[in-house]
Amino acid sequence: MTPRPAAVTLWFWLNLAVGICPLPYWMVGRSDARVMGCPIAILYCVGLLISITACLFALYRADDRRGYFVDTDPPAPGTPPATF
Amino acid sequence: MIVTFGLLFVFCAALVVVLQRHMVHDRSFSDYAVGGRSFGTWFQAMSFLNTWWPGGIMLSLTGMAVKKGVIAFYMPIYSLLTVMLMYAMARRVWIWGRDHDLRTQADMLGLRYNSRALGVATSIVGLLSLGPFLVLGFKSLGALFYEFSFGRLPMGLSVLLGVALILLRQIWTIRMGMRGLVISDLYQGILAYGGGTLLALGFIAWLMVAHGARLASLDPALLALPDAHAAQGPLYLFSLIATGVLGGWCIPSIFVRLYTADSVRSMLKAGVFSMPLSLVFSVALVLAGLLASEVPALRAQADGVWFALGREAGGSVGLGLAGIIILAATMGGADASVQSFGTQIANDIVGAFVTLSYRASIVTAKGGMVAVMAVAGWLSTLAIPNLVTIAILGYQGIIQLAVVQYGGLFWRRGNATGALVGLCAGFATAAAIELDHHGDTGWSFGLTSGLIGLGVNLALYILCAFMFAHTPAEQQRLATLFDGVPEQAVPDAQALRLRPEPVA
Repeated sequence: MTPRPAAVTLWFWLNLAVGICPLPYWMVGRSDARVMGCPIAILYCVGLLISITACLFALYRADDRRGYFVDTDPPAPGTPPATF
Repeated sequence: MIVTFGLLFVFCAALVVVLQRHMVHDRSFSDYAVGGRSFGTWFQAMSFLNTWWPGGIMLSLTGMAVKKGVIAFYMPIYSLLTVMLMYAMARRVWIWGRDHDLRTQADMLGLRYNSRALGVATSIVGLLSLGPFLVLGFKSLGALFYEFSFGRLPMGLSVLLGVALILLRQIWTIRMGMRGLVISDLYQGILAYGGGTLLALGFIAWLMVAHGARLASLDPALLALPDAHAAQGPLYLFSLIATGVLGGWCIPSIFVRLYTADSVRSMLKAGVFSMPLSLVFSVALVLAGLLASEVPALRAQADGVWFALGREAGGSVGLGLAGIIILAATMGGADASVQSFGTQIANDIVGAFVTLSYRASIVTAKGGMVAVMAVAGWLSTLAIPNLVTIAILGYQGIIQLAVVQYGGLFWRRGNATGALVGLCAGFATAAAIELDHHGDTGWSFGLTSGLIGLGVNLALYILCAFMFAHTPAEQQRLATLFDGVPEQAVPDAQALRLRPEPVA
């Protein structure tokens, strides 16, 4: 099995850090800034949620490609049981 | 009333038809407890959503958005972050489950730490912590009946009717075990989260068109998040999110879902594929709540704003649909809790001391479920002061399992002594702080009682790991467990098993 792509792993940890770290929330939580009328706090939270979701999709896709699931997949219908 | 209760009847009748059509007799206790590890992606996804977003949480999420504003986003954030945690641990949990016929969280911890006492202790902590939530879930159905009757039924009678309905539903949970639960979760999940999302989006459109509500005109106080100078402490929001992320997979009824999947692929795909729905659904609920805060009549009914939106926007039909969505979501959560209680009583507590046959296991699990339902049903008809506080205390308690669980899965040096000592000390610390400060976090920089308890728990876990080294035999057992060495290469492979292979 090949290792996970570094970019996806980095994205994963970045999401976790940004999602838990209080600093970004402090910054957007006291800002009056708006983007097209939408408050920045709402944009930040929704953006973070989209990033987490997209990251997990990328991770799943990368894992599928590198054969992460193959050894635990159920046998295809009609496959004879393994013998040792 | 005819419309609202008519919709309720149609929903329940369709559910019974779905369950009866899929009635399958179990062949083993694993069949009953984890559905024979046979469910694919979509069953898993809906099953996860049904356990994660019960009706009570839906109501409190919209209510919190109305009253407190954007801080309500903390729930969607921790709900998605916890799937990341699941992704990290799922493979090991599932493989250990398949190889050792694990059925519950306590089974997994018992295997990892080679300790029956730890398995029993974690199971008891899980049961005690989940109990108040079950009672709250039953009670929330009382609010549903009250709303459905447009306030004509007294609240006490509404609660009784709600409890009667959920108890009636449990007949199928008891008869069909996890299989019935997962199958009904698909039906309930489509309705609750698919239908719920559409309805929430409809409410948003109605608020914008009929009332001119806009995010741009929200009260600035609702847009503020607790910052470094907040009265609750600078780390308050961090505590809320961290507690949710860490605690999610410590809940026994959620953890057991990892064992119902037919493969690691199904499990992770289910987690990943459920995320967009979870995202749109939860964000729509928060936005609907935020926009509802613009309408004085809705702001005045913050706690029941979901029902109020249905009633105001769609009359009887709107209220009926809003209620059915809450009912579908509540049933999923309550069923999962009841099923988890029964399995844990038979598998982790009674089964830890007595070897039960398949039939005895089933009878014990079903008996446990009946007993739990009877007690929860009775408690939910009583006016229990501070029930919500007790439930919060329960959650602060259940996250103490995080050290044992994640420490055990990702660090092989941790041992049973540290796990037990840490768990007990963490639980006691969290309980003492919660009882003393009643949720106030201003004195602790915003850290909740659970997180402080978790710190004590972790410190003791690490200390014991360095003080009491594993024996060579334990080291070899753990190497086999973690590295997946073929059993033929290990002389005492049988010792790894929780349940020895039955002799033919």
